Amino acid sequence: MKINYPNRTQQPRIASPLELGLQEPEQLVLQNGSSAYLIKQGKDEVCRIDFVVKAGSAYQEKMLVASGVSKLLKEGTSTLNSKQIADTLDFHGAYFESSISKDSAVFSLFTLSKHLDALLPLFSSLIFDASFPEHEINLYLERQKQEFLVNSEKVRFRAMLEFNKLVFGEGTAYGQIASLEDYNHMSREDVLSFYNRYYQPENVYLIVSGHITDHLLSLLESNFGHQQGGQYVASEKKAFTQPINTRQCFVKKENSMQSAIRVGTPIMNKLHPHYNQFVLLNTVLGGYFGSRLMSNLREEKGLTYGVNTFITNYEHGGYFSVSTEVNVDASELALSEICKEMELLRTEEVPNEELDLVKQYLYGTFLRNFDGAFSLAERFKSVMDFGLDLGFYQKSLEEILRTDAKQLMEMARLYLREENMIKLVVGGMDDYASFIQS
Amino acid sequence: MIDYQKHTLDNGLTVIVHQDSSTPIVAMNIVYKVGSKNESADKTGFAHLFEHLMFGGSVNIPKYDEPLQGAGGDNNAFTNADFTDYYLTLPKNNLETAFWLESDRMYSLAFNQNSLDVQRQVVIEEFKQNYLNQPYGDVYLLLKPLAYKSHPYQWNTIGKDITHIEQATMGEVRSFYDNYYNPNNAILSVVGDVDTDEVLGLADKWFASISSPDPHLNGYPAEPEQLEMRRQVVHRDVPQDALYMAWHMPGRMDQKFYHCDLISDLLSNGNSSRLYQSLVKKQQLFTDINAFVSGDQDPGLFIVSGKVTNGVAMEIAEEAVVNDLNKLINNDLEEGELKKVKNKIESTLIFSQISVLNKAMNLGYYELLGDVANFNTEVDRYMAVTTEDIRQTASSLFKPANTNVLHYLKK
Repeated sequence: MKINYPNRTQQPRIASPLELGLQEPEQLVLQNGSSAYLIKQGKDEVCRIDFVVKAGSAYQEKMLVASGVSKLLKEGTSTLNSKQIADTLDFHGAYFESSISKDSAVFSLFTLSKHLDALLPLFSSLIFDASFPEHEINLYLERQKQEFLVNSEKVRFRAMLEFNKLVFGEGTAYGQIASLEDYNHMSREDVLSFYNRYYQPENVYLIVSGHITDHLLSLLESNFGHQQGGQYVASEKKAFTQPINTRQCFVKKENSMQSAIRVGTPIMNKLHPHYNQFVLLNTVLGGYFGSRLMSNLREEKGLTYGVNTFITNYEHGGYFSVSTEVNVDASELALSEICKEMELLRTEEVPNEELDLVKQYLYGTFLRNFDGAFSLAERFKSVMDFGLDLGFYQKSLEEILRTDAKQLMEMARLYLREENMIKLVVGGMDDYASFIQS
Repeated sequence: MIDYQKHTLDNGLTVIVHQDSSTPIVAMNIVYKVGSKNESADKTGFAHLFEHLMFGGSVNIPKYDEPLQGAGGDNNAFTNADFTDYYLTLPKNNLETAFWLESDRMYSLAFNQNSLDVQRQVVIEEFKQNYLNQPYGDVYLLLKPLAYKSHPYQWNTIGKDITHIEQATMGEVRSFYDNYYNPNNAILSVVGDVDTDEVLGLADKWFASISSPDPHLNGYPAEPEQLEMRRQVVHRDVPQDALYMAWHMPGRMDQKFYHCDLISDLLSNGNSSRLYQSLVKKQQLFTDINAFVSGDQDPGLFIVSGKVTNGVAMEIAEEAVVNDLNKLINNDLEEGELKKVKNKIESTLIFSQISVLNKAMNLGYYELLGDVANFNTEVDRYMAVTTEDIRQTASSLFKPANTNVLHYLKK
């Protein structure tokens, strides 16, 4: 029998990039003016319906209310109690999820198409006919309080809250963070007033993805097209962010084996002409497994299990951040290496071989992000909030693939200046006194 | 129902291909039939440490990640008690790079000392991050040795102790590789917009020349039946008491596994489930509660875990759990409720088939369990379960002598 001995020393040829080939969703305007964006794709008879309400935490006047409303919708309507709602969802094998950001609340229903008739009326009543029973609110707050206490034991969680406060400013719409005490003050009146104001047809839209039939379209109309608005009042202008006043911060946590480190600064959003080039720079620094920071802190020095950088975008502000957890004894070393890697990007061009690798990797990431109708729905939402469409992604990809090393170094000089960075350590640190003073 | 082709090369490598044209991304999965249960008791954590070393370079490719990323690919891996799984996705027109990479590290590793030195440190930080520096992070480091006295499931995949990882030598790395990382101990699956014959051709081209030596495998003891209830109490710096209970249950291939899985769904899958409604919402003894099966190949554990509401005595909380479990034994289960959890299984299985990566992993996993064909009939084994099956299995499962209890108390 013949056995092949392939040439193992040579990597197979890399093919040129495929087009993303994205089709824009179709927009369906319901009778009451709400829009539904339709993403028809996939062979399986399943669908996902996302209901987006512009009622994120930035709009609340009292801490915890926006997330409270979003989590309590499923705990009662004018005709169904919490148990009946749960029974109906579970009996039909559906998943109902809610998530909340600073800008909006999103409710997602995942179901087999054959159960849509049973589930859409329920989904609609959860959103427009929630009743917020007092005992459910109390139980929710008690459980949340416990969860908050457990999370507060984690350096990662503490660092996330603290960094948010530093980068957006305490007391601003984006910089607010809850404390334990806040769990004692959210009342049913607070919940109802927020719900009645923001959960109105003028303030919502739907994204429907997967197996879409004419029958589903008529169900959308009958369940989401008839609610009359009229009570929605846009929120007063308030500050979403404010200038940074503290750049170095250390929070001690006794008996911690690791420190959570955050380094970062406010950054532009998707609409800015430098955004795509900065995405590429972010990936080189800490956006993939082979990144500069991962190679340095993990693969060379073994200081951490992982280090990543992120670009976080909200409608009215955003930030770039480096995030890691390291052995407490390595806190200073890790911080200085993070700054060193940024400096290197400001002072030396990224070699072409590395640049090509990162571009290819990002291209693959773009393809992966559009794997299936449900992921397309998520991608669509994240550009929709900036008034963009899916065409944004093809343009981004093309711009990323065109960017050269000189342009990247320019981006680093503009946006990765050390003097602009907030540096935060939560956990332990030998010489924190001089860190805070510096 | 998914169509696939299965083929075994002469060297014993099993290859499974499934065609899915819905995406330009192709997924490749390789599962090696080795996990932490194959470790010896004084060298635990090794299978997982080894997984890290698989990224430290193979004989012809100094770094695994770079060429993959340069081809638009992304990858990861995980280790559990039974097997080690490596998976990647990349654009379909770069599929051959995946074959080149995966075959080279099956052909021979580079055995780089520096990589071993660094990955030991990385794994130690992983140990700290996930098990030691987290509230309740050490629960399974306590619960498993309480429940298992002979079987290697008594230690966690991360290892018993950091010192075992610190002491790993290059000699041990080599012999582990020689014993387990061979074609006849692996399953390769590829899913995406591919031509099946072309994929089988690539498998032949890149893998057929790798030989499968006779391995020197270590056997391991079975766990004897537990004859009396075991209890442990620990005090930790946490904000809330927590209760963990574990019962020995049948292995993954036993039909009773499906009874147990459905029992765990009746108890805690979704907000309508029994324990959530009874213990969190009605009696408010717990702030959260979960029931789940470990899913191990050999007889595994059925676990209930919950955080106890502050001010509630642990004994009261435990008694309430036991009362709810006893209801299943006392025949109060109706068809409608069983139908509910079966419906959920049906939709979960369908949702799990949407992404090419999930499908590639599932095909490899079902072949590992015995036969990939079982993937398409999995739902039938759940549908066949009756209320009487549930009652009988619950009554042997939740016997007091089969129970392990851990009280994890705040200081």
